[in-house]
Amino acid sequence: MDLLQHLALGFSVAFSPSNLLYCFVGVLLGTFIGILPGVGPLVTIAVLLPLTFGLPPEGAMIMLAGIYYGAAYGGSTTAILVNLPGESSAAVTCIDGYQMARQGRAGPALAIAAIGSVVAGCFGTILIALCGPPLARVALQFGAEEYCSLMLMALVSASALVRGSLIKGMAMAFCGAIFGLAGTDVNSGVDRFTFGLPGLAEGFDFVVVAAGLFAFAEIVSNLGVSHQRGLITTRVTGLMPTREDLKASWKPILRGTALGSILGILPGAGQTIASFASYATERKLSKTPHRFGHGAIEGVAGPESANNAAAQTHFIPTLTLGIPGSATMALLLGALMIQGVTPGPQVMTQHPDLFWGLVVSMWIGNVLLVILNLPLVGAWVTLLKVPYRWLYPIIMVFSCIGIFTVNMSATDVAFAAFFGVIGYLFLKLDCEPAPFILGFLLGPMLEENFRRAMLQSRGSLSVFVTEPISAAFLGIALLFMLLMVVPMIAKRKDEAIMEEA
Amino acid sequence: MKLQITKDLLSGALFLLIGLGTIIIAQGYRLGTAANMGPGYFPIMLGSIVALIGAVMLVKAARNPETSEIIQTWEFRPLVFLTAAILLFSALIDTRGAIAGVVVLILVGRLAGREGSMLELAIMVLALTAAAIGIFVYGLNIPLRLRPW
Repeated sequence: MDLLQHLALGFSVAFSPSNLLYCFVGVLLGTFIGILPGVGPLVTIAVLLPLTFGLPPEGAMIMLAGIYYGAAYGGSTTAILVNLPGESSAAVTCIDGYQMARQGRAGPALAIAAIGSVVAGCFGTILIALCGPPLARVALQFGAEEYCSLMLMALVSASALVRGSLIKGMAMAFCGAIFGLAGTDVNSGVDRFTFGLPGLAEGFDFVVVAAGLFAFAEIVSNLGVSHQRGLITTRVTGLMPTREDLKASWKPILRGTALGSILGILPGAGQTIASFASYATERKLSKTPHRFGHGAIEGVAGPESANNAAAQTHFIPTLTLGIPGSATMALLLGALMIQGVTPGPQVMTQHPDLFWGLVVSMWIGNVLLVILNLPLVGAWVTLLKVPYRWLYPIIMVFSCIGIFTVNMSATDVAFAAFFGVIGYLFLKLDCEPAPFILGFLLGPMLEENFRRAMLQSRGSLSVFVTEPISAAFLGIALLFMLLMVVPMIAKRKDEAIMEEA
Repeated sequence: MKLQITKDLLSGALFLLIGLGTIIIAQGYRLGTAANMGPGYFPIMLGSIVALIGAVMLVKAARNPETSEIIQTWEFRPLVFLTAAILLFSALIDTRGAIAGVVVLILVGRLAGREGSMLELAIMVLALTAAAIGIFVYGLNIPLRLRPW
């Protein structure tokens, strides 16, 4: 059977000593960063991207993916212990996880979060292995108009699901696309938006934009607030959940996994949404809903599983269609492009070792995470005491040298400073940078496919609705837009996302 | 009624500016037709969408200022010193080498935060410079110029 052969290939790649090491380093760094205050996975991946250039593509992707789900995991640890989500998607875990910690049940909360994450992670990985190949086969048939509509759908759904209004998100996505167009136009050879700067002939480098928007802008706004946090639980005793805990948790874990897996596949729909949806479901299904908010273990088990499942299935659109579902995925896709691999459905056939190695490594990584986290949780907690004034110089030094080494260009560093200022402005205006980076990445592809589709249709826009697949994508995009216009849903979305701030 | 400078108002203005700027710059590129697009076609399309959204936001925010907030504070100090530190690094790394660049980056960057003792700063400069050079130059074999001479 094909799948077994593929998985065997994946195992041989992922279990090579060097890739095991990259995986280990990735999840270790990820956990580390997920716990550190004020440093999210986006910043980390943006800063560490240049470090992976020297690695082979599989190694680079395995390590970056490890950072990504390691950070998701580390974020839940801080959510439970100190009521601070290290990462936005862990915000729900705070609600009941922290209450459990205050009642002296931090250990079981952490253990259930870990078990839920592993179950969800393994299931998500299997789903990628099962769904990836058929989806890629379908995607290989896509023409320019299908791609165009698909990208539009991704941009719309990503804009719809961020904090704030849909049109603000859309404006950010299209602004990103405009910045993405800078450089020499491949079709005509005309330099666009280069302002006569020779450093811009190739356009802005992806790393430059990512570091500016996510690292530099974050530092500026973080320095504006003081970082005082109280540590309630310094010691974690009694890790093992009781039999009742397990009995109460296994259903929420399975439901959360299913919910997260589905929401993760949709481009743009986030882990945050998945964890909130799971929390709401569990509270609705519970016979004792009044316990929620006062340390209900279901409120930890469900959302943590959903969050992790979505983190895994995010890779499905990213790897099979070349369409990133979130800003973090956009960064991973950018890393792939820098490695010389063109994202899209052909990745699976042209680089099977990369695809299957990554899939299997995620499974290994999930197991590694539990081994790393549960026994060492006490050691991780001390990281919370690291003051931000030590962290930001480290981020600055590594990003600056990293950006410089991409093209050995000092101008790139100056461009990153420029994007830092822009990014700070965006932050202050409550304009989410996530759609911007998606637009930046997809902009040139969108133009190319739009141009091709219009060339084939002799300038008629109707081709986008007469082709069934393309029409379906546009329909979903429209649905997202309409949903956001319905005041009740828009309000509930904002309530749900508000708490991540 | 006095105009309230809310976040939405400023965002609208910013988008309008970016959109119009894009359209104006793209005037210099050949437009072409829908069936045969020139380099100016897509940028003008995007610019128009962004400008339109910006204009709508601007009008809406001016009419209903209560739907948005007013920015309370700007972190001018961190913004100025952090940007200056990065630009100085960019200016120094080619001419004076990576060590000078990193040291200046940390020192000027500290002015952005203004926290911690001088001793801490000195340790930070030494440790970070050593770590960065060690990782990039010796670990990853990237040929960075180190010294000013």
